[in-house]
Amino acid sequence: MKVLIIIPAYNEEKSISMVCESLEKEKNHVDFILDYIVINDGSIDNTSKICKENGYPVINLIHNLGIGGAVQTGFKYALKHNYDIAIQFDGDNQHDASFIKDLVEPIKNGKYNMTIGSRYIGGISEFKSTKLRQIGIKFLSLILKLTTNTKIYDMTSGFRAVDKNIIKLFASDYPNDYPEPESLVSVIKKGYKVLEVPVKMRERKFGKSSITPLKSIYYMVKVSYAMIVRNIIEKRCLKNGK
Amino acid sequence: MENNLKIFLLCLIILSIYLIFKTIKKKKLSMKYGMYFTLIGIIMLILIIFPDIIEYFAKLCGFKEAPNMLFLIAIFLLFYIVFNIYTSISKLIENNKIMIQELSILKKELENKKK
Repeated sequence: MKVLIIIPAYNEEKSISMVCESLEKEKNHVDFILDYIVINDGSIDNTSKICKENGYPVINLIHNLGIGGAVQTGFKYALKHNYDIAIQFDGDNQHDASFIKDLVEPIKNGKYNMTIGSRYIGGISEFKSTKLRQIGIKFLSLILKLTTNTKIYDMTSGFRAVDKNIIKLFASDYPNDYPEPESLVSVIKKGYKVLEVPVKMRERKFGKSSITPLKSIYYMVKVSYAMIVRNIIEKRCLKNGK
Repeated sequence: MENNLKIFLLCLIILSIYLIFKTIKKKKLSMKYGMYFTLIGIIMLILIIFPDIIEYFAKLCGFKEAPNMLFLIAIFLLFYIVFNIYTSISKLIENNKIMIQELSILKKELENKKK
């Protein structure tokens, strides 16, 4: 079984080598083939240089695409090279590589199509983001519950594993900006099974979140709208038997 | 409508159509979109020469003043055009994204082969 870790990176020169080294180490602790690839989203710092010098596999996007387009490039690459599982993994060292096998296990057993690394269940993650952000995430969780009748606590987690079916789906259709909650609605609506897995997350030491306070209102409106519309149009697809 | 105003408007529209043709010749505007704007120009030409048409339809639809109908039609038309432009832009962004992705993956694979 082949697993690909997709690491979207935009200006992550301070943390990218730490992330890649931790993945190199993790390769020895798993019983499947573990590859990773950095998707350098047109960084203007030394991200590309660092990857080249240290021999980390990297795709340098020829122009900045944003998080959605970058991650989708990873899914396209995974589809092309016939990977069984693709895992999205942040380039800012927020995620812990030792939980990769926890995410792979339920998919490997064939019980689930997608797993989400969650800070909010299991009680092992000390880092839970700011209060305001937690309220926002709860709100998105409520929208998901209302639209798809599925409860997911960590709606915005960027630590997610998907199987071959969903790799195919995401390679052809993935939202451009703020993709996590919207793509989750698509997946559930298409009838795939999703499981939340408790993981440990760290607070980022370098770099900024892609969502600044000013943008957060726009973020909430856009994501809520996208989830609701996605819910409606996917329903139509099912009715038409597509 | 005063005759000199009529002549002025006619000249203006004919000039516009001439500019549209010139832009098409320079390949700055595709034939398809040029046709839309030329059609609008021709309709306006007809309406300027025979303004009674507007009065007739305005009365038929129940407008108190003929210009109100014209403004309404103009606003709807503009909305439609802007909406069309947005769909074109969305499509362009999507195509552009696909090209960047495919090209970047291709470059990566080329590098792999060189090694």
